[in-house]
Amino acid sequence: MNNGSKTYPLLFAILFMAWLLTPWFLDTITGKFEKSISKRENRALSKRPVFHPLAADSFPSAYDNFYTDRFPYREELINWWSRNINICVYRKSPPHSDVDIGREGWLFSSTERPYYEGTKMYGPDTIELIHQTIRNRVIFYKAGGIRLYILFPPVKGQVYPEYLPPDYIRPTDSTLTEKVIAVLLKDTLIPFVNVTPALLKAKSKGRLYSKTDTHWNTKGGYEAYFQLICRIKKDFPSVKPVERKDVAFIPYKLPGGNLALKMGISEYTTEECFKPVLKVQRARDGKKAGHKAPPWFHAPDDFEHVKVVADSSLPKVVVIRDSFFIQMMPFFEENFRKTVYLFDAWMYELNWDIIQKEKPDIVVLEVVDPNIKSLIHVYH
Amino acid sequence: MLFTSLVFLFLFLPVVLLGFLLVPSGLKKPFLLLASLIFYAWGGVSFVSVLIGSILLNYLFGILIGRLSTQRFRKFWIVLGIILNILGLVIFKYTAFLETNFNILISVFKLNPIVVNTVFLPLGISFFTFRAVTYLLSVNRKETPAQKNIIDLGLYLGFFPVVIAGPIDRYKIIEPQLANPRFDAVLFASGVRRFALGLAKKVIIALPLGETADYIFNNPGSSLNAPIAWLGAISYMLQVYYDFSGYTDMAIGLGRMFGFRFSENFNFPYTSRSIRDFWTRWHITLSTWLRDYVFLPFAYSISRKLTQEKYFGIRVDNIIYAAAILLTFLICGFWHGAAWTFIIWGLLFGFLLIFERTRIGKKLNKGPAIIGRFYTLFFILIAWILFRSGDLKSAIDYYSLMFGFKHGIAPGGKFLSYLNREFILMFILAVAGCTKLFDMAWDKIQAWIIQKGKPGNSIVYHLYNIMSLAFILFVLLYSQMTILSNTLKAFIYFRF
Repeated sequence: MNNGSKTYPLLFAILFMAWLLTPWFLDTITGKFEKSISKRENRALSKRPVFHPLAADSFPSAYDNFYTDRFPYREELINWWSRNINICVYRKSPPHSDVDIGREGWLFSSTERPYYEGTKMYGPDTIELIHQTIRNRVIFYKAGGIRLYILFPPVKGQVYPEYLPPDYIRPTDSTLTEKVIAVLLKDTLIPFVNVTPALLKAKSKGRLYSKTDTHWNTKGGYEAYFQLICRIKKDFPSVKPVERKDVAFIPYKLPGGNLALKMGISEYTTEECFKPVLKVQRARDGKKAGHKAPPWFHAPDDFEHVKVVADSSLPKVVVIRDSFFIQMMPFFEENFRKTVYLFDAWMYELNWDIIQKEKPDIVVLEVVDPNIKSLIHVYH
Repeated sequence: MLFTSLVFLFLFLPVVLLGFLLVPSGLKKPFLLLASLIFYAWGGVSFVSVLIGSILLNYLFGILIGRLSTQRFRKFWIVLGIILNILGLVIFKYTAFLETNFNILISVFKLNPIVVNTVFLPLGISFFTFRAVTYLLSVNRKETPAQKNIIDLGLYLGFFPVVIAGPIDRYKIIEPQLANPRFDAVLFASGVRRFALGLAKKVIIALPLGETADYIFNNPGSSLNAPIAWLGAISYMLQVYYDFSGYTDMAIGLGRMFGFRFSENFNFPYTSRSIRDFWTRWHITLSTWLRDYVFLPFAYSISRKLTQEKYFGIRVDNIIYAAAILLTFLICGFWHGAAWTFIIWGLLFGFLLIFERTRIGKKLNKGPAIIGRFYTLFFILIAWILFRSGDLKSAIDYYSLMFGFKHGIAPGGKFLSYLNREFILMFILAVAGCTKLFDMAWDKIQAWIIQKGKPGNSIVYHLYNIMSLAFILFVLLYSQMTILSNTLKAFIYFRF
């Protein structure tokens, strides 16, 4: 509605221009948005692209990414919005966060949902292929005088279904992992360690998984470790498991875990963690052999870690792992003369060149539930 | 470049607006064309050549057709011009579709399939091609003279607010506006309001509705059952409307900021009482384009060939209507996308329009409004499933879910768990916004203000304007925060 006066139309124009120019103004005046790493998002921010006529088509999207990443106060605004609007007002996880809000503040990765609901299933042929792949690997290592042990850490929802969002549905049939595990347990040749029953039993004694993270905590890690080491001890009697009474779990608080981070609320949430303190700690950092990470691997520093214990009676071990094994490490490495951890970015390769160089007595293959199918990708 | 991207909102738009205000009037149009080419290049730098090619081609054909006085020669050049425009569209948009279907066909005869290199689709080619055809026909019919200034024609075909998604304005509407685009505070302010409204429709309403629709449509095998499938379908139906009409509002708003008045494209389509009514309210510039350049010429040409009053006991005007409407909606469907689902989507509307010409259809249209609206909404909803599905099988699966013929692996999904607070709020706003409720309320407020005192003098008038300013600012900031919130890309595996 206008009476012919241009006062309000001009005000509209000025207000709109002010809104459009505010980010530029903030960027120019404060000039503090040239950081390269987003701690909140745990990733490198996009760099300013250089225009090249021969690669012109890729420039716009690269510049879009750069501009979006460096938008003034982007992280602060996102976090404020996530906390005050998405969580408090709408009670929903932010878009594209792939996080489902469960009961009593528990967060779950929505990418793990199909594995819990059993909607991601493979036919009997694929399950048999996974079985045969693992079997072949056991035989292959055995031919080289090495024992292979396998464990699959279950996803959070398998152990804590009571905290899942109400629309998560358990399948009437068993899930893919349960089917694979059933086949592996029947095969006496395969030293498979099923850690899920022990976790379900132990959860009444204390929380085993992080509320705001996909992973188990050190208590969960300990329970899994204990199952694994007891199985190894059957074949290697010199191994002495770290008993529960020999570990003190000291609570401490950290900002919310990876799921809270994905929601942009990591700083506003806390995760109660437990630092394990062993009565006797013998494992020390060992010298890395410098095994070469694959050229495509984005975190070469994480590829290899070595721990040693000065006790020649103990066996040597190579662990092919993912992030779940981190919470088992403080206990596990106490039991071996030399422990070499290999993180090959969820490829779970045979790593035969490294195994030949390290000459371990034992190889442990740890594969988190959703990645089980990666095992057959390696071979086929 | 998307209107909802940060680069567009906070870099491109302020630079272009300031530039438009500051450059001398003689340079305003070249400046806008340059900005439009940069805008277009953002979707693929090499595609700019397609747009420039279209501008050059139609400029030359326009001049040629405008100069020819002999009808026969004009006809030759106009047909050639249209064929070349449509050929460009076919090459870029339909090559893969034609290749796939041709190979299926020849596989029956056990012939080797043909392989065509992948052709990428330039943004907005369907829109600027139709605008180009409009221009040539306008010159041919002597509605407007041929455009001698290539920059003006470039702006008509490629002006950044409309190049990607219309409206497909007629050349004769835009041509007078091309003479002297300039800043007008009143028009600019109305453009800001319209732009903010469009941004809100697209970002604040369509986005959460789309999230739910995507979530449901992308998980047809899991915990879906009939109520959830209906929720997904209705969410998508609303999302399509708010997304497209929001984009159009933004385009119209941007046009006004630069002194242009583009045509309206939507007029409360979901309040339609029939499918015929719907197509006079939905994507109006496309439906009128198809009416004027496909339906009417085709109906006219076959009416000259059919001389009897009846064929097979059916009146000739009904036959002409049915043939013309099916062809029109076949083209309409194919224009929307190169897939069988789009073709069937178009034909479904064609058959429904024919049905509405039957006795039952006419009775339905004359019956109670609520029945007409229910019938219309039902079939629009059914049609949108085809639009949303990647292929026919997915569409049929989804229909089966909706009508309870099948369900997911774990069909116990709880309806309420799909409804977060944001979705519920936006769903209510979206449904209300589909009706004239807000418009009527707005009109009443304005009438009340006028009643209270002369605009410009009363406190109520100032209060109204200040509230409007505050509301627009709120909408802009809310949209900005939603856009920012969507850029969160945290990396989950961070503890090695």
